[in-house]
Amino acid sequence: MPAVVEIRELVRTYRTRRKAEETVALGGVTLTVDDSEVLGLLGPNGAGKTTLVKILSTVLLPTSGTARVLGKDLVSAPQTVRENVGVVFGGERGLYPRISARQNLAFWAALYRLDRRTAQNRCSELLERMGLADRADEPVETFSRGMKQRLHLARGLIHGPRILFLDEPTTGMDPVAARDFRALVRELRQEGRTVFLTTHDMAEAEALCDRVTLIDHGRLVLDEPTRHIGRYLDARECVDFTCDDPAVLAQVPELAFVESVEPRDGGHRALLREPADVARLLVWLIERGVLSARRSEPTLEDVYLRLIGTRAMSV
Amino acid sequence: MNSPSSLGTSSPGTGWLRLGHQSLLFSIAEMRTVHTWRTWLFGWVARLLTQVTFFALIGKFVANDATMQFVLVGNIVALSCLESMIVVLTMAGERRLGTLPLLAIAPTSHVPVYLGRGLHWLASGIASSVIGWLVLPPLLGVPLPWPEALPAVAMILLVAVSCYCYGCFLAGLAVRYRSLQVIVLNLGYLPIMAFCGVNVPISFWPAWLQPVLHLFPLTNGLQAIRAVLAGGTWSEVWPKLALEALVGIGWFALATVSINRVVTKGRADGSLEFGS
Ligand SMILES: Nc1ncnc2c1ncn2[C@@H]1O[C@H](COP(=O)(O)OP(=O)(O)OP(=O)(O)O)[C@@H](O)[C@H]1O
Ligand SMILES: [Mg+2]
Repeated sequence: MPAVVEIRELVRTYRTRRKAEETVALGGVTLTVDDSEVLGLLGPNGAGKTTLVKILSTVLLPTSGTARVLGKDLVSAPQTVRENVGVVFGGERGLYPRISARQNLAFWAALYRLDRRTAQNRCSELLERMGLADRADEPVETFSRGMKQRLHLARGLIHGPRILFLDEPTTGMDPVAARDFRALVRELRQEGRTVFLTTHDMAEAEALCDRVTLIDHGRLVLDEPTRHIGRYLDARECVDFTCDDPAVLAQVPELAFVESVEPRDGGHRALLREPADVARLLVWLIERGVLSARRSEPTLEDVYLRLIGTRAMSV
Repeated sequence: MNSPSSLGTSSPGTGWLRLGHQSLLFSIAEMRTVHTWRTWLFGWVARLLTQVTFFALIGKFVANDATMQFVLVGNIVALSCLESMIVVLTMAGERRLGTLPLLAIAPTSHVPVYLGRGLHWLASGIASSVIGWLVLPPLLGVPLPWPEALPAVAMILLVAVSCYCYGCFLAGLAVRYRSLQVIVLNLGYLPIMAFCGVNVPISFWPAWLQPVLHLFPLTNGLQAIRAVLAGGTWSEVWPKLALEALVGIGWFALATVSINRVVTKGRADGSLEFGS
């Protein structure tokens, strides 16, 4: 099976108002996406994620480098690419607020050249699937943010694209909707579609994606199957604990077998090298009256914070 | 959900028809959120007709009944122009809504979609003008000569369409140069109202300006309408109509180029954004 998306040395720069300087949004990205894969694209604000999605969905031209979607070049054959990709950009924009959800979808169905009957069926099916059937005939301006986001998803799926680009699709969704969204992405994958997902939600990426790609400052930092992600940490064992005694807490990082200690969700997480160290630390903590301690797995968030964390706020 | 390959696409020909049909439904739906037929007729049209009457009465007071009829005819025809140019607003709105990039990457050309976005205002404009044509002259005591006034109705249609094309061109400008938006929106139809023969004949203006005025929509069509009312012959009227049609086609072509340019330029420099 050939790769669904093939990106080679992709560069995109933006010229800013003051012509002197150029912003490098993508600085030479090489990446391959396989068939029926859910790829998570992660990275801090301004990393170049949206720029990449825009290029792959033919909204934007690359400055240099090549990208092929289903074997077709994005620059020379955008038309073939367009018929096969669906794209959903985050945020509320891109809908016609005055007309109903169904009318919005019907409009895009016509633009994607679906015949009338197929269009009608597809609209109803998608509205049902997105949980919007009850409100389908109300104007979109009366929708909540999450409902608009779901309508965007329906719009992106209207022509049954082989590849779906989703740029922060769960922004504004409530937990139930976000859970349904995850189920939807899994279904789409089952149907043989490839999903390219941009998100800031590490738990979501970890739960959904077969592979995660991390970009930072327009460069690929990591590209790895999600289940192997822990490889990127030297210390792959963790112990989570809550300790109210500052004296005890101060001692933990000093222990020879502890790599580091980081605050985590109201408590702390100690990172360790060897599985045997886990038992040693647990015993050490219990002896000092710290009873809320348990072993845990390093998550994608740990990897992310390790690779990006030190300067996340300095865009 | 269908399998990825089972895309229900129709042939390109029916695709365009479908798109036209869909755009029309879209327009009607959008119109209905603004107006019911009652608010349209008693609010919107009545307001426009009052405005026309006001200008006509000024004509009467500063001059005579003949001037009043001149101004009345001009302003009634100008209604269709005024309304069809609301396309500038609906198209510029597309950028604000953030639908521009999505339209640009749809496999069907975005150009007909854009150009179709104000068709409901075109229809509304024609209707307002025709209502004015039938109602106002007898009401103000300056009845039009019938049956001469009948073919003029078809000419109003032509004027409205060519004004719509001009509106599309302006809209293309507004979408392309956002800094021009305010100027284009507010001043686009001013030259037509002021110089193109609505209230004063274009012969009133300096000689060098007159040929330029023939490049604007409405000028030639309105002259044709006036000629018909004055009992002019067909051979006198049709060149003016042909010129009006030609002017419309010209602006339409420019509009198409301009809108295409927005997209090509946007893909290159990243200005194809989701908001303004
Ligand atoms: N139209 C544009 N003109 C100029 N610079 C731009 C434009 N779009 C993006 N940039 C710049 O390109 C860089 C990458 O932006 P991009 O939107 O791709 O980031 P992102 O990874 O999607 O960020 P976020 O997580 O905040 O959505 C940023 O420095 C941004 O300022
Ligand atoms: Mg982004």
